[in-house]
Amino acid sequence: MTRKEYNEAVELYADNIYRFVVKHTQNRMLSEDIVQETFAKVWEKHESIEASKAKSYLFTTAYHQMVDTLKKEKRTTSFEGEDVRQDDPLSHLFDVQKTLQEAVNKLPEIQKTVILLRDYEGYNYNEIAEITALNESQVKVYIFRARQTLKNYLKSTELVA
Amino acid sequence: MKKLIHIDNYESFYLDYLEGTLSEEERIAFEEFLAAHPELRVDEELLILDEAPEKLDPLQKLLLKKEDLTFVSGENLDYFAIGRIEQVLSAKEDTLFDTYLAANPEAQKLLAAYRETRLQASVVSYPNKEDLKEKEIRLVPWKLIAGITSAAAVLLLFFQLGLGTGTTEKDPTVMAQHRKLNSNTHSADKKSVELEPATNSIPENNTVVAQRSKPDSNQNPPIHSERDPKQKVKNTEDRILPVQPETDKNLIGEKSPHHPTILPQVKDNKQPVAPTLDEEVNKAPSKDLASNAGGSNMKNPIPIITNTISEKTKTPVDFKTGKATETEKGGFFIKIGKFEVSHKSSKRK
Repeated sequence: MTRKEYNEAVELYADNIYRFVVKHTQNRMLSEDIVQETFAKVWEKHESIEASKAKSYLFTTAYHQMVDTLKKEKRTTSFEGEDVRQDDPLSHLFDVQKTLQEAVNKLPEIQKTVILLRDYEGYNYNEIAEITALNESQVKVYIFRARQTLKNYLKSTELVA
Repeated sequence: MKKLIHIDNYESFYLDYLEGTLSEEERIAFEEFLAAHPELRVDEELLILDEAPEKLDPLQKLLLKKEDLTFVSGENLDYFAIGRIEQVLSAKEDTLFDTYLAANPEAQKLLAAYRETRLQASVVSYPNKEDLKEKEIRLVPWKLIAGITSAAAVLLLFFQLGLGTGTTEKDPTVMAQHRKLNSNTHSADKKSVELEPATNSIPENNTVVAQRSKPDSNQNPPIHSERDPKQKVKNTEDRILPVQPETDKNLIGEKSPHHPTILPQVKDNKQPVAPTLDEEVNKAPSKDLASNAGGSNMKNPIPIITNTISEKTKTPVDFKTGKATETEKGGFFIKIGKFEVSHKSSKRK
């Protein structure tokens, strides 16, 4: 990947990476640090990365960076200390999406990861498996379980039938 | 049992192992399988089952199966509904589910509920995107730097030489440099040499004066004023006369008669433009080739050049000339460090 291709990748995927991370961590500053660290790591190895695989490589790096950071920060899936709630664009969304985002935040980390990659980025199971270092069957199980949990949460709030 | 657990079916055993539902024999066999395949071990931190039921639900068991389902029922309805929105059902399963949906309105509501679980991508912008980009850094080739440096050095050298041979004697810094350069040629005896101005060759109506000043000429009156009080010099106290190098072995030999520099008349307390030599002085013989070739108002630049080159290159530089006589050949000799060039002309006939 050349410098130009790297900069194009920044232009194309920085927002997606940031959204993926910030939805996870619910912390903008922490997410910005993770994104910055992700791109720094990718730039270090840019010569050995194919431009066509830049997005996948970025998400993989971001995911691992996020897991490491969350372990260090001892942040888990909780609603405590969320600094994006006040000005999060989701606050302007419909009630279902807002409630759904709350439900996503309650999911276990790995389920949250696969569901965000699936819905936001449109990755297939195989691609998600590469990013998260899972196998395809595991990804499928986590997604199905996440859907079930989300549906039950929405039903509990009587937003859906 | 050990042989029954393999790479294609271990997941169902894994889930049962995590739930603790394996028999003792199965548990031992699965642990041996995991020990043989450590890459398949799942980080148990990732398997947070807080929200999950205590037992594996039918949906997950269905997902572990490698065969298509042959019927739709209340137990596997979630599997079909999620499979539909995930678009992972086989064609056969799709057909079965469509048939079931047509006959069961409740199944349609369930499918609609699952459709609501799809997250809609919101626009989130990273605030410092430009900071992530790598800026282009243009490296100047070292050859270009070397070329510019060399050119600057040559220009500086020529500039220095130009100062040494031009009309810069008015500049006190240059005069000081001349004094420094010529200091090597000074000897204690030469300092004590008293110069006699050739006043006889100066016409009476010529107001130009002969001057050989010392570095602190402002404090000491000019030599000629002490030795020749008859010399008429106007405004000598206010005048700042250019400093002439005290001695120059190429110009003035120990036994050669002194030919003082003749300065033009100073008007309105202004510095003289350039020193000139009297005709008689021009006619005076010189031992130096360069001084003869340089014209009447030119100093011998050879010592300045050689000293400057020597200083710049930090290499000893020597340059000598000699006129051909009836007994000896003439020519020149130049030595820069270990490099020597000499040329001898024929004897004078």
